Amino acid sequence: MKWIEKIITWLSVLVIVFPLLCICSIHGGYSTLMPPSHSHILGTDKLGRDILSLLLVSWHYSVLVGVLAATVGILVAVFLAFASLHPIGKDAIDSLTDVFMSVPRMFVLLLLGMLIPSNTVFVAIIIALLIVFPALRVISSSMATMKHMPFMESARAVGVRGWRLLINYYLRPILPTVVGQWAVSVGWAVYADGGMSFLGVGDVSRPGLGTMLREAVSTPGALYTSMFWWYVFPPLFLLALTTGLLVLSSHLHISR
Amino acid sequence: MRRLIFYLIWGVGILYLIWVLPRIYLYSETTLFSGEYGFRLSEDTINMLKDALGYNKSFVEGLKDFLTFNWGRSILYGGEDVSSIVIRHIVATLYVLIPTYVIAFILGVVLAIIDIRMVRKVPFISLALLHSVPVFIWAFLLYAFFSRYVSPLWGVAISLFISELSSFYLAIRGVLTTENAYKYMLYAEAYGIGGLRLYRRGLKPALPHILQVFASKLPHVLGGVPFVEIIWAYAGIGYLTFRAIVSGDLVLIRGCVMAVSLFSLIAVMLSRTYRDVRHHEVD
Repeated sequence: MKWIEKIITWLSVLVIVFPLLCICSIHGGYSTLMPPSHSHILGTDKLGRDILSLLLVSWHYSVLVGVLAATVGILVAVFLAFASLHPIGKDAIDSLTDVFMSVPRMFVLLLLGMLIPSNTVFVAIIIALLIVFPALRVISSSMATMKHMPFMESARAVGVRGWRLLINYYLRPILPTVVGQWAVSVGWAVYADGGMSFLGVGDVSRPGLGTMLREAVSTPGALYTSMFWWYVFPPLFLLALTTGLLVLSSHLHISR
Repeated sequence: MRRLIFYLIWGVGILYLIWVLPRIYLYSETTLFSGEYGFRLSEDTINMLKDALGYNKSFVEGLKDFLTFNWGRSILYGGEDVSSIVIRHIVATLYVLIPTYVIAFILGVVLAIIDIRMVRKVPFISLALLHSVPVFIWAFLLYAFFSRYVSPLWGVAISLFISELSSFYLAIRGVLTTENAYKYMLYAEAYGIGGLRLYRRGLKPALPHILQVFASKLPHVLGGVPFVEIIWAYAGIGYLTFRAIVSGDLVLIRGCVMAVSLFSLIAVMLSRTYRDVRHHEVD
């Protein structure tokens, strides 16, 4: 069954990366609400824009926000996980993680999204803030198991201390877990960004999968007529992206 | 004890942080209370509104307001008290959420037990894959295809149920797999106790852990509530938050976030007071 897993993993990588290789801009000025055809594979929207080009540009932005937010979030989580190796730091950080994870992140995100300027980088930063604690839970527990490994005792006995100990003996063995958590976080960030733009919060001026869905839903009658191409493809693209990242992350966890 | 003190400090700290968060508003204050309606307010009007809504209060006064549920007044509801609006809407959400949550939980436990005993796991793997689908996509697909036949209340309930079921199934399957690794389960099986009887014995000691799973999924489910309620136009706390966002009523948004966070925090913290003795020994 391993070859099936490999095929699924490579397919998910292809699904994530392929749209990023397509360099395109939004093509507009066509007839409005055209169904899928040879000239427009996924049809056009109410402003006469090609939906495929819109989806590809939105994909670029979603991945950009996801990667930026997940990278910042995971870096902060790793530093906090180092701090949680200290006995007092462990209690403080564990309880903070528990409390933070008890708060519904999406509601906090909506409040923060109302307060910040409509800018992609700001949106990525506030999403990163909410990624830190779930990632911290996984990373700090993995580091805690490293603490009791025999090689750790040997390292201390030969005088390995400080950052060298933290990086080489705590972080390096759990790197696949950290990368897997990063992939999960990218998926959540993409979902959060899509959700925010669907509600009209954050950076709604740029193209986004959530914005496209909002435009389709808010147009009276779009759901009850046969304009399926307008509202079916954005959620499918979002689903492909988040599922692909989840498969990739589980493969990274298993490979460990 | 030290951890309990930390819980209290962080819990009150995070709630208070949400309370004061609107003060970091980065735009011009003239747009603060205007929302999408596009009108701009004068400086005098803004100051008057800020006084009325408690923005110019000191730290101690703010803390007192926060603790006494004096959460300001809503512009959207013509100056009505935010806490009473929020309570009314959160009750509407819980009316759908709690039965759905409990049914999904029970079914999740049953599916997890069957799964652990099964050799072929194909149907359950597909259930696990459903977990990766965000709740708003479920709600949207249900709305797109079944909104003519299903009422908003049932639409919200079914969307949440589909999303929660796979989530509970996966979490409880993990708990039971851990329980399976304990030696007493092996001894019980060697003594000839099998099938559901074995898991009835196994479930009892795992109960604190399962209850923690039950409570810890709550923030995740509540996070999906705004999307589901907006898509189905159900007048719960999520839909209220959305309406507050659209009308730029920052005080009401803050009230919604505070109420949901408080509810979720209390539920999760209560579940953590009852700890598994075996896990405590390992710690």
